[in-house]
Amino acid sequence: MELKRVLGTVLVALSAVVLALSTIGCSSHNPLVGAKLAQAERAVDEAQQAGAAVRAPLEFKNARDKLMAAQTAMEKGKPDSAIRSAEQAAIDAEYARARAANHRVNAMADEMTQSLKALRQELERTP
Amino acid sequence: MSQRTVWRVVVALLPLALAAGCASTEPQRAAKTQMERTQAAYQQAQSDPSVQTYAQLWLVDAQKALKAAEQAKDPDEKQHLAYLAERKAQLASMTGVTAKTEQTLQLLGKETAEMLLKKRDRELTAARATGGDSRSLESDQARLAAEARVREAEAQAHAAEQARRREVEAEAKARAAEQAKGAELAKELASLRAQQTDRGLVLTIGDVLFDAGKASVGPGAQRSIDKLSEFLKTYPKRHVLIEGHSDSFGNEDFNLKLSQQRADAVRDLLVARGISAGRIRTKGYGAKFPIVDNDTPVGRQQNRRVEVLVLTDGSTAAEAPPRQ
Repeated sequence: MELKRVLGTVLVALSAVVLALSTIGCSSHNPLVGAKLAQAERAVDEAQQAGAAVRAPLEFKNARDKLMAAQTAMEKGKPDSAIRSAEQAAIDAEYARARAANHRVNAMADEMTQSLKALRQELERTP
Repeated sequence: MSQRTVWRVVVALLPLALAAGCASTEPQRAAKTQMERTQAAYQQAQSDPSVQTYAQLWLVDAQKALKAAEQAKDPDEKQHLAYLAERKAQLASMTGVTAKTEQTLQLLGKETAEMLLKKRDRELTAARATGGDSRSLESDQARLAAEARVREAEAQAHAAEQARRREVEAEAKARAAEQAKGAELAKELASLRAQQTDRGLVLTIGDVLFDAGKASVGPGAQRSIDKLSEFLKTYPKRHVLIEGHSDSFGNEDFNLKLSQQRADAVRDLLVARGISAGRIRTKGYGAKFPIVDNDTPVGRQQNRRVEVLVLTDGSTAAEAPPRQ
């Protein structure tokens, strides 16, 4: 009787330890989380350097918010959620960068069309 | 019916309502809505001819992502994968549209250059007709102005072309997976066209990266300067000399001043990125050190440049001798 009770206690304690360890293992030592977060951070940085914060502010904010959500999820020990948010942040940042690039070439095209028009008028005026 | 009975009924029904709400729907419905949006975005990208021409890579990527989303069982996972696929489809569309506009930019640049040449021709003819034997000051100025505008048009056409190339490069780079930071830097320096010379490592920032006839830096140079500042942050002991050069065309004072201002502009951008001003010295040399003949427009364009000389470890910007 006594032996059984001791055994039971030991078993419960052991499983608690295993559970605790595996939780820690998932939350802070999952290498994939770190890699995905780093990738997302880099993508957001690159978007910012490409002027996305100014030229595509909504999309850029979206990317940054998701990056922050990923960081929070990691701190709270939710690796799956952190990975998803990081993946979405990275692609959002790329999208923001592409929009910024699009904005830039559109502005250039407008400007050149304007100056070409002015030039053409000037040429027509002088015989 | 007493009030109590009503409450009993409500309490009895509550779990049923909750079960119905959870079991069949919420995440599944969200996944379904997202899948519909993704399919629409993909179809739009697929039917866009400029995507077919300029953004094949993204389109293939989007297709793969869409398939992965279709096969996913867990609704949360499905929604997530579908979201990624939607963004990839949108990236394909955006990249295609941007590339097409860049194509237009090149045409506009060419047309502008032609118009400017025509205008200059007319101005010269007019000046000769009225000015007699020697060129008057006025026609000389008109010629200078015309030449400056031809340069501007050239520069814009080149900038557009380069912007397109950079996009392609960036796309390719994004695909190249994680790399060691050292290898990355080496690659970046190579893409800056760094050359090992007897004076040290020289990076050249070409004229097209500046606004024509001005010292302000266009968007194209920002990337080069980002890479350079990253390099300088990685090697905090290295000092740099920044030298501005111009072609031999036009007024010498102006050329000297412009080349100095351009060198200063590059320094200011580096300082703005956190590089200490004490590590940098600038000098404008005007047309004194051409790298090729000034006889052709292409040659002149090559001569209009800023050279960044990365000094060897240990030598400082303050004591480096000026160019003779």
